[in-house]
Amino acid sequence: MQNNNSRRDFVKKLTFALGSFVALSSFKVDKTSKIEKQNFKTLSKSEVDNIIKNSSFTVINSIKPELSPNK
Amino acid sequence: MQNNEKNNSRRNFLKKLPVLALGTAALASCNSQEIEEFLQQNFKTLSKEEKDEIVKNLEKKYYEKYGKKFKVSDKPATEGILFGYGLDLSRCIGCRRCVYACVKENNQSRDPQIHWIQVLQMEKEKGIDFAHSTVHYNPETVPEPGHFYLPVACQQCRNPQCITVCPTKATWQEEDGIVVVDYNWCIGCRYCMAACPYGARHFNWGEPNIPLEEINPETHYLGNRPRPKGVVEKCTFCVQRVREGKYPSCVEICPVGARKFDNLLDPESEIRYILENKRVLVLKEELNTQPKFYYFFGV
Repeated sequence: MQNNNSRRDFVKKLTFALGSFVALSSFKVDKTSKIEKQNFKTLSKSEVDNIIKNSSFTVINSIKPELSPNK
Repeated sequence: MQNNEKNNSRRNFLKKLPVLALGTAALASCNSQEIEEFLQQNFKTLSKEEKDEIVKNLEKKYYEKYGKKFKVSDKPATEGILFGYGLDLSRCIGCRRCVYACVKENNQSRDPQIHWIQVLQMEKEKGIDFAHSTVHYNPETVPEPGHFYLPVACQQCRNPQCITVCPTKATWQEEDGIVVVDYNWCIGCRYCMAACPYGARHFNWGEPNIPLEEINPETHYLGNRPRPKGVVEKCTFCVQRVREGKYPSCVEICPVGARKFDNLLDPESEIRYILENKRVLVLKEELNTQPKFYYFFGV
């Protein structure tokens, strides 16, 4: 008797739990408001290598490299 | 039997006594500030009052050590800002001015040398090829024919593996996207260095050596304040400058304007224009670290 009741209770609670889960899921929590992924196209490795190999970069001027600060 | 137990316990007591005495002596040799620093909690978990107190103590400590008046800021991130960095590969000439401006601004050790930015020289013929790149180039003038330059610093990833592996949670990503380190909480295990695929983290093997006259006293707790020996450090996009509305020092010094810095969340920003209109790449994209450091070809 007790066993049957407890199984019935479980099923009742399960339905209730599932119902609440579905209802609460509709409240969307925005976890990615700040650091979200931006969608833009990036070049693949081969595209980059092609650009580097084939294009001659405009050299504005050539200068002496900066020396290391005092040790 | 009971007698035996008694003897044992007396022996144990005598054994523990010297340890206790040594511990007491060690504690007595520390001043209250050192004890307080040792017991300090992770910066991220502290209240505003606690942070203010810590910052005040640090300023006092640095004044005593360096004889200069320091400002240690604890300014938090501003809402609505997510910093992004752009570097024009077609403009960079490898002059290393960014490297040394960064060294000076961020109080990096001169001996042993620590450079948060490393400029890699690569051959145009080989494309982006880390295995055959070098940081030890020293010609009379740059750029050298047939070469291009790829400066690498912390890529401020959206999905940073250095944070995931830290056993003490001494490193984390701030709201504005900057990955920072609490140097007081870092235990120097170097797991983060192993996890970073860009080699952007650096370990202080010795006491950082900075000439007194070159120390920058305008600092941030999570940025360029003088670090102790045995902790890991990295680029913070000059957190002490950018949170005050200035550009990072590398952006400011670049003689050819190859470096861009702006707010990714602002659709009108320069960085967003670059992302939407230029040919952009990120390093090691296949690792899904999602850097916020974008390389692009302006021409």
